[in-house]
Amino acid sequence: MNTSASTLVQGRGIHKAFGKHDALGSVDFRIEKGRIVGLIGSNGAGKTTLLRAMLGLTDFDGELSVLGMDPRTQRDQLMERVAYIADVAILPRWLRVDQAVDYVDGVHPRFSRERCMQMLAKTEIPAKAKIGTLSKGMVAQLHLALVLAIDAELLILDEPTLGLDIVYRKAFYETLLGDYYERERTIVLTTHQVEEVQHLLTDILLISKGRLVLDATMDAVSERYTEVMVAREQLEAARAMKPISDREVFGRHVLMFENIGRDQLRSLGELRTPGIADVFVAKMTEARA
Amino acid sequence: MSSKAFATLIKRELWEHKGSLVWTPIIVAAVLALLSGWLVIRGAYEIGNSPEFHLDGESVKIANVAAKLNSMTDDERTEAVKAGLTGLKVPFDLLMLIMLPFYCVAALFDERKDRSIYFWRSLPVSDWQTVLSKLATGTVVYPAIILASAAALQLIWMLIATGLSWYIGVSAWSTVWAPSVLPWFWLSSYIDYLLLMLWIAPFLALHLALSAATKRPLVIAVVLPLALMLIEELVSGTEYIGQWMADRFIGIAALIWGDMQELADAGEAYPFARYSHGFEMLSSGQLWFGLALTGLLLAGAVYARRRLQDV
Repeated sequence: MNTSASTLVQGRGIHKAFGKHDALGSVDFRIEKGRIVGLIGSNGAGKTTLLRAMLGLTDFDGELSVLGMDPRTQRDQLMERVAYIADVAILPRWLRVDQAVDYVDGVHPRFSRERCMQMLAKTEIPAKAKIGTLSKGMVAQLHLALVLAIDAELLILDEPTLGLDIVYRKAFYETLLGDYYERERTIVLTTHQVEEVQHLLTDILLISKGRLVLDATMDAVSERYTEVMVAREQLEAARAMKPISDREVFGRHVLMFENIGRDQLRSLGELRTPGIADVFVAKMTEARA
Repeated sequence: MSSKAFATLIKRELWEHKGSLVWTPIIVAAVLALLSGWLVIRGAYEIGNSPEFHLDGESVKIANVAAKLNSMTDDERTEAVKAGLTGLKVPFDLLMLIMLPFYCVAALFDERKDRSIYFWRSLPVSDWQTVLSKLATGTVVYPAIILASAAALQLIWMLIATGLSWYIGVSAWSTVWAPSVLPWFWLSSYIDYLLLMLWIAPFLALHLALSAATKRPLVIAVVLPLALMLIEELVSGTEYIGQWMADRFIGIAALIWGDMQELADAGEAYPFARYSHGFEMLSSGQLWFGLALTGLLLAGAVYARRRLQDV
């Protein structure tokens, strides 16, 4: 394994089966320091399993190093340097907001109470309120404030905005990005709302049926994939170049190509860089075929 | 883990179970204190200024009571006051014995049920630390809360007894306060509780393990011992499991109410070094067998918490 100093997470041959079903095939991946990595995939693709493997929350086969540690055996030390919001992001309903802060302050050596209070001050969360009385959006704000106040090298967010309305989702990612620029962190996040996060990602891992179908930087993605609005008379010629997706929008054909130079495509029609959601759908469809 | 972090884990338990672990004993103490107050006021009203009162239909002269109290030896006074204090503690003993299994059965189950376990486990706290913090809350912190509540009621009765002493015309100090040796009484009560916890630890550890591993810990906690007894009876016709559990229950009574039995048997009075009595248990092989079992069950709870997150 050629692990450089800047590699934070490195996995090789990660495999996990639930009974006869392979949740993860044999996944190789690497996460570099300082990146914001989107782990994208449909339900049951294996995203959460992969994250849980990284957090030592599940057993698996293969080699995995997170911050130089094996999450299976060194989970307790690892959790000092990794912060995590689970997709089921559950803060206990009986806990009060100030108690939640006291608790994390009490058990986490890298927690900054001051930083947490600063972030909470920007919200309308009452300090003495029980978490059960807060709205879903407020609970997510609180959880984010708790987690961002931890000086963690690696931040793992599993569907952190699930079930939140658009206002809270936007605010959530703004806070996250603001924090990212302020300090050196690496973020791995999964979400269904790919469009909402694509502008903040630096890297993408597309996962389908337990296999990585794409592992690239966002820059590489925009270089690698091109969408062409193909005129009707060019359609045959365009299809001969083996597009990875072919869809019709308002009577016009939109074909997506992978690893074909833009110069070659220009003659076929209008070019554009596809959104990550379109690449996602194309790769998923391709993987299924 | 630092002691600050472990203290935080215990605080967490008290936040979550404030009602059952903290408020319930305080409320019991408050209700009993009110009842005591009512009893005293009623008694005072009935006796009034009369030089005698009626007890079980017999007329008792207050002057005679004073003479009797003054004629008691120190040991007799100690025994009598101790019996009173122990009696006042009984409701709290029972409360603790009832609440503890419920606490242990819920301790590792509720976090799975509401899935907050994902939050707790996202922090640098090991499963062992979590399980031990719950055990420590139930066996070290909770008994202290129970004793503090009992102590409040005992103090109220000491004040009542002081008033009665003055009324009867005997020295409150030599009749009530000196023989009570209250700090020693409280210390020995606490030590008795800790010994009790060592004795019942296998049950508590079983409850914690069920709480971490099963979907219906309370039902299983009730049914499992009965089922084991029944199976043993059917398979081998013996009753070792039932006998073993019965011994544990007898041990509970002996540890916390042993002295009441002594009193009933008119046994000789001995000073307040009675914790040396309970320490005899440390030489019992049964105790150590129980503790070994406790270790295994706790390891099971830790393993289950690591493996089975959702209910």
